Amino acid sequence: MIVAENLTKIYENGAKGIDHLSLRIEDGEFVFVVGSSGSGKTTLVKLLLREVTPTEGKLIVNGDDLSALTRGQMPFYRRRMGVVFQDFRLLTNKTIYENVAFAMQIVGASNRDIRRSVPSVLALVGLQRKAKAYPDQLSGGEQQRTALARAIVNKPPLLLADEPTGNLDPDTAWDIVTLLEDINDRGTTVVVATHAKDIVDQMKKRVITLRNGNLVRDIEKGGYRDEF
Amino acid sequence: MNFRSFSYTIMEAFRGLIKNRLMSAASIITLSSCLFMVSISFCLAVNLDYLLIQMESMMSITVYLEDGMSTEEVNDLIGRVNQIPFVTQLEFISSGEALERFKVDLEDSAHILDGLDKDNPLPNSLVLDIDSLSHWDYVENNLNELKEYGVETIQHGRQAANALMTVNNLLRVVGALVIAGLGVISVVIIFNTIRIAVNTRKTEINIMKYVGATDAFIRGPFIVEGMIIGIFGAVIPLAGAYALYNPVKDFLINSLPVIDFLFHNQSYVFSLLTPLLFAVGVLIGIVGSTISIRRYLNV
Ligand SMILES: Nc1ncnc2c1ncn2[C@@H]1O[C@H](COP(=O)(O)OP(=O)(O)O)[C@@H](O)[C@H]1O
Ligand SMILES: [Mg+2]
Repeated sequence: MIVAENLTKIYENGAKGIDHLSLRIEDGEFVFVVGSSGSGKTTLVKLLLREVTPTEGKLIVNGDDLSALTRGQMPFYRRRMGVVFQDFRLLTNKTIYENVAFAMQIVGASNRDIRRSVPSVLALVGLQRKAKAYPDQLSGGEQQRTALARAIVNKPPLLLADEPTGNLDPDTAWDIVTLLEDINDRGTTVVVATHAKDIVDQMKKRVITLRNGNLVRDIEKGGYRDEF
Repeated sequence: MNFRSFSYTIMEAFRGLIKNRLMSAASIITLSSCLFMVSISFCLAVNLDYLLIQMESMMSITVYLEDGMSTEEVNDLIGRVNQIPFVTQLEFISSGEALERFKVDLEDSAHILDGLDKDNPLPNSLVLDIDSLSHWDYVENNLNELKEYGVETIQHGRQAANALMTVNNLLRVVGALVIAGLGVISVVIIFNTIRIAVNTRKTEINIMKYVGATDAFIRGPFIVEGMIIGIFGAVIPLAGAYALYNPVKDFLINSLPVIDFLFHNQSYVFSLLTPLLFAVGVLIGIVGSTISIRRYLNV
């Protein structure tokens, strides 16, 4: 569950990333966050990741009040969320298998758990046959699926995606969104920041629209509509 | 940290070192040079100290007494000299005894003294041992005040000891400055090496942060990298200094016209130097890598 109250992020240069935003996202929801470029989508994701700290207001994620989170608690906070970005962010010197296993290694998983979980997650995203390949041997869609596998391999209750289809052609984009829906069906809360209009329109999920860091529209089973 | 994290940390550290082998080698060489200087200074310092101690125990003040003093007067003077602080030993050598010793010293040529037994020109003397070179002046001043009780002349080898003490102190200061300078250079070089290592793995660190790796887990391999550099940086100069120690010692013993001074033996010196060098090397490695990774952790 995510609760934001008067959440505000003003950058050091004075730019308003998020401006007095209040919203609530329940466990198990699938939510699109839309808005034109510069509307604050990425800032919201960064706030949720605790990559930036709020200037003002309250943010509670998975029961943790982010303002009370210490530096030492941050890694453990982040272990309860997966994240994918537009640019995949894979390790180019590691195989697909190793990229996913890496996420388990660094949280101290046993080799036995790693050997069991990684193949099943790769199967879930349809990459079991590419386990030994390196990222630059894969298409963009396959790379993003690798990133998704890495994001969910530790079974986080929350998945964040910032423009996950931004670098992909429409067909591949749909594969990814379908995967996100699969993941959501398994109980994970999914928050997708995007400006892919047709995808949002067809998915009929909850859509939160931002403008200038502010919530301007929040509808169930909505579509994408730019408001100017 | 469990065993898996531990083996991960060690393996990543070696991978990092090999990946940046040029910088790693440069760091090890710099640190080795620094610690080699430390080793040389250390060997010099402990042996100079040893030399001083030997000189202290070897050197004594000889006080020649006035001619024709009565036994009571001599005993009175001995009593007064004994009152002087820092005098650890006092030996009275009568003029007769002095002549006997002189004969023994002369060995085969002793016969040249044959005629002197009846008209002995050697004075009575007192030989004083003093606990430390630093108290010589004090004792000497006190002796000078005993002139009216029969002290004739005072003889000593203090100048040589003072010179050695000055050299020793100077070496210490210069050594400390050189070592401090090289130490700073080593930290800077290791700092840069690890920074490059960290930089090439920036993406990796970034991803680690997003997936929830702890700072300790991320830092671990880099710290170990610094420690490995430190260990290599200590082993090389240790091996070098160890190999050189005995040849240099033998050379000095054979070429210096010094009377039978002892040097510390190799195993004693290196039983002290080895842990010192490892500690300093590892510490410099840890400091260098800790500084260089700090700012990358704030993601
Ligand atoms: N690191 C930053 N420093 C300063 N201003 C920033 C930074 N990141 C974003 N902004 C500003 O915050 C606002 C929201 O940006 P962002 O959250 O990236 O929007 P979106 O992801 O919807 O395109 C923009 O005005 C942008 O210029
Ligand atoms: Mg953005």
